[in-house]
Amino acid sequence: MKREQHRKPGLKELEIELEEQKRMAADFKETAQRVQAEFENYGKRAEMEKQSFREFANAKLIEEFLPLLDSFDSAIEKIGKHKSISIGEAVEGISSLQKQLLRILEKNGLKRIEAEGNEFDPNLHECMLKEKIEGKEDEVVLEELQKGYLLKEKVLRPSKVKINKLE
Amino acid sequence: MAKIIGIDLGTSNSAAAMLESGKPKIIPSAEGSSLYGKSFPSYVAFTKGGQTLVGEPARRQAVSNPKRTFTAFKRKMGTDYKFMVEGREYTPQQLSAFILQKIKKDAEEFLGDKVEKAVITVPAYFDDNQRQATKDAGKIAGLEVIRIINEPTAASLAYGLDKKGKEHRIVVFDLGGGTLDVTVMEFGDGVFEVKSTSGDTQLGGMDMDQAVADFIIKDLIPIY
Repeated sequence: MKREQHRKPGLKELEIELEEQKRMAADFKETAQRVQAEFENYGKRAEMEKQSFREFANAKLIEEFLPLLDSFDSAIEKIGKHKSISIGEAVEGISSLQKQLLRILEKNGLKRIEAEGNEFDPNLHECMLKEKIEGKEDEVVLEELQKGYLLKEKVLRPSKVKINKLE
Repeated sequence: MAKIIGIDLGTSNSAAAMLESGKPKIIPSAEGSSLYGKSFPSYVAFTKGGQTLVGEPARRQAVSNPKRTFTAFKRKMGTDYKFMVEGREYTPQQLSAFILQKIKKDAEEFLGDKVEKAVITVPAYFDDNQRQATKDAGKIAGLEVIRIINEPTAASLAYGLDKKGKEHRIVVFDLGGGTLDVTVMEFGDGVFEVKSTSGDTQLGGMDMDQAVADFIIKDLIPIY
C-alpha cells in the first residue's frame, strides 16, 4: 500500500497563502460595502419614486374631482341669478351633486358598507349602542349612526351602529 | 436570514418594527386604526359563536360584548390574576399571546418569510416576574423572545443616542394611550442605566379623550 505523503508547507508558501487570503477578505469586504451602499441608495430611490407616485396619483384623483367643482360653480351661479329657490329644488340640486361625488369615489374603489338589517360584523361595523327588542334577531343592526366605507375590500371606516342585544 | 422583529406590547396599543438597512421600519397592522394603520388596539375578545377576535375588530364589539372583551391586561402581567370567560380561565400571558400571534402573522405576511424571534419592550419599572410573564407570552405565541428591553432604552436606541459616542443623561417621556412613564437614564460605555423611573399607570391619551367627551356632555350640550 502506498503511503500518502504529507509535506509541511514552507514559510514562504504560508506567507503567499496568507497574502491571498488577505486579498480575498479585502475583496469580500469591498463587495459587502458596495452592496450595502447600493442597497441604501436603492432604498432612497424607491422612497423618492414612491413620493412622486403619490403626488402623481393625487393629481389624477384631483383631476377627476374638477367636473364636480364645475357643477358647484354652476349651481352657485344659478342660485345667484334666480335669487330664490324652493326647498325641493335645493334638495334635488344637492342630491345630484352627491350622486356625482359618489360616482367619482366608486370609480376609485369606494364602496358603502351594508349595515341596517344585517347581522353585526365587527370586521365591518363598530357597535356604539345596544338595545333589547324582543322579536328581532340577536345582534342584528337596528340603526346605522354613521355610514361605513370600504376601499377596494379594505375597511376605510367601519359603520357606526346600534345593535339588538337579547342577552 | 430570518428577521428578528421588535415589539411594543402596549397597554392600549401595540406595534412591531424591524431593521432594514440599519433603520427601523414599522410593520403595518393588517387592519390598523386606519387604512394601512401601523399600530392596533390591544384588545382580545371571544364571541358568542366561539371566534377569537384580536385588535380592531375586538375593540369594535366591546360595547356589545363587554364580558368577553379584554384590554389593558398588561397591567396584570406577572400576577396570579385570571380573566374568566364562561368558566374558562385566561392568564394575562395568554391574552398577551393573542396580540403577539397577530403581530407574528402580520409580520410574516409583510415580510413574506417566517418570523420566529423577537425583542419585546417592557416598562422600566417591570419587575422580574412581569418580565418573565412577557417572555412566556412570546413563547405561547410561538416566538422566541431573545431579549426584553426597557421601553425608554428602545426609544433612545431609535434616536441613535447610543451612537453619539459619549456619556450623557437622557429623560424619556412616554405618553401612551393608557399610561404615562417618565424615565431618567444614563448612557456610557455602551450601556443604558435607568437612574429613576416614575409616572402614572392610570393616565394616558384615552383619559384625555374621555375628559374632552365629558366636557362636551356636561358643559357644552346643555348650553347648545
